[in-house]
Amino acid sequence: MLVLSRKEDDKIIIDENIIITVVELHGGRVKVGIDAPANIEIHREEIYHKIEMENREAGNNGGMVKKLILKGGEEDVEL
Amino acid sequence: MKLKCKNNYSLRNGSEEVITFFQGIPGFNDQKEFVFLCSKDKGPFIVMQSVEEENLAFITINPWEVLGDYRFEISDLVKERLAIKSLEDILVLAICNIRGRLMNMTVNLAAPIVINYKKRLGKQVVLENTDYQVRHPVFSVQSKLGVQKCLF
Repeated sequence: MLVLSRKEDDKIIIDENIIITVVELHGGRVKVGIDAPANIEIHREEIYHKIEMENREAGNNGGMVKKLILKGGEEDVEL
Repeated sequence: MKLKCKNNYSLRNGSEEVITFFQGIPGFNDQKEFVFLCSKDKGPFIVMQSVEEENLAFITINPWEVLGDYRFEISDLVKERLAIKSLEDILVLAICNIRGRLMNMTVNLAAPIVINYKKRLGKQVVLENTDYQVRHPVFSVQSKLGVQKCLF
């Protein structure tokens, strides 16, 4: 991992079009500003991780429940 | 197998029914193709089945069955990724999870599955700054669903 030391208001440029700014440092927290093209997806890691964990758990029991739901044939369903 | 929505569009048998998730879904980024299977007499649930991995399937539901006033914004990024021209082209589902008893089933309203069925593209959209829960109870007081309606 590349580790860079930055001060408040310093920036990091990634791939020429993503600019990360250290907006504020205060009490062990850092506010980060991100300027990026609209087609770049940005998530807080812990939120994304929570969805990953939930999907893994749901995927594990899905196979079993699938059989129960589809037993009796596959038909149209109104959405 | 068909999946019929309000405007009478059907996903039919054959290769065209495959929905491509270019990024997979979080936790399963290598699973890029899913089919959607349903059975009318088994309640409102729709199975989201991985094409590649037979044992990988998710139970999904139309989120408005659970929460009538469910709302979220389809961002420009999602519109672009899914080539969405009109909101009429999309279907929205949410992944359910069962822990132990069926009564305890929850649905992930914080990361809906959005499908452009015209282009056959799908994406699980991780909502930012949302109050919706990853584990929203399916059979709650405000839910239209009764557990007895879901004939497992």
